[in-house]
Amino acid sequence: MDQISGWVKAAQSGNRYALNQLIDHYQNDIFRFVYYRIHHQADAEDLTQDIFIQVIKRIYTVKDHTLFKAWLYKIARNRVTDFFRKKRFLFFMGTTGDLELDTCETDENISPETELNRKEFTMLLKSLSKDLSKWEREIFLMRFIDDLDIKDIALALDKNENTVKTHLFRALQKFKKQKKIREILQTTTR
Amino acid sequence: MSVQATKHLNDDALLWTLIDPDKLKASEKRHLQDCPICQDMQTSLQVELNDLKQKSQAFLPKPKRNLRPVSIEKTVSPVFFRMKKSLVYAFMIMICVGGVFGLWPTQNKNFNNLAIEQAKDSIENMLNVTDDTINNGTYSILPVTFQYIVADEFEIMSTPFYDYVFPVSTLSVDDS
Repeated sequence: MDQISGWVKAAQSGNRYALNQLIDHYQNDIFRFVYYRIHHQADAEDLTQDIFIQVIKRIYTVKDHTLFKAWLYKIARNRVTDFFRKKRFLFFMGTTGDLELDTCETDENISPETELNRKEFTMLLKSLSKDLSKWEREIFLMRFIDDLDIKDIALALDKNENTVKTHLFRALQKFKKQKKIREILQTTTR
Repeated sequence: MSVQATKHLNDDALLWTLIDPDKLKASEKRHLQDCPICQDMQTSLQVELNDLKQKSQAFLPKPKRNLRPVSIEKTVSPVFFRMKKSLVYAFMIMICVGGVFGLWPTQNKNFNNLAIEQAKDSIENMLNVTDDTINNGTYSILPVTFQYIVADEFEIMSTPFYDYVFPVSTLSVDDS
């Protein structure tokens, strides 16, 4: 039994320390997952906390401890979907201004150049997302931004592994055709 | 089989090497192991995807607060504050609706009360019978006010207008 499974088992039996260890281990990953989908820092922080509240409430339902990661990302994805659904409703009601906000509180320690690169990277991701279908985008981000393996992606999305691979293949085909994006990636790397 | 003799991997095959290397045919696998050109193409794509991941980590803003949930129970629903405008609209509609339909029954009630009071007064006036008429066994169909007006008009001061009243006895129906 690996460390994560041990923490999950201990957390299920009410061990607070194990639960905190789990949250600390995954909080950055989940924050990244949420942030690169909603592109709003404060909302991403709120949503990350909401996801972990959900985890605390429902951790006893995890049967297979080795599948905790996939289960966690499934919750995260559902919460992001709920967020967009709620946002669309608020937009319809006229209580929110824009459906797609890109706000990130500027850190004083970050140089203007880095800030510019960050914005460029966000634009790059958005332009790439426009070319991909819903599932292609989701699976591409999960594989190459969130670094999940095919099996975890399939479990998190309730899909067959072969379906995930096919979507990923199509997404990569489109990514390869995006010469501009690849050029930006290459230039910013240097 | 020499590397030059075989065809290089096409784009799709190169992409499958990143997704599921087991999907490649045995000949393609052998070619990839031996061909530096195909290896370069595969590596370059792999590097770009790795860059994407590294950049996503590098450009991720640092959370301003600890993301570990402090309390499970929510104290305030954030949606409530976002619904402020809707609440204002809802209150305005309620006030408008209340203004139209709220006053109507009240006004009706006032009018009704007034009408009932006026009707009561008129009935009381009509049925008002003086002590004299009761004592004398007479009943006037005229209201008291008119009785006095008539009395003044005809100067009937001592015996009040017997010409205009019917003796009670005459009201009985004669069977014969």
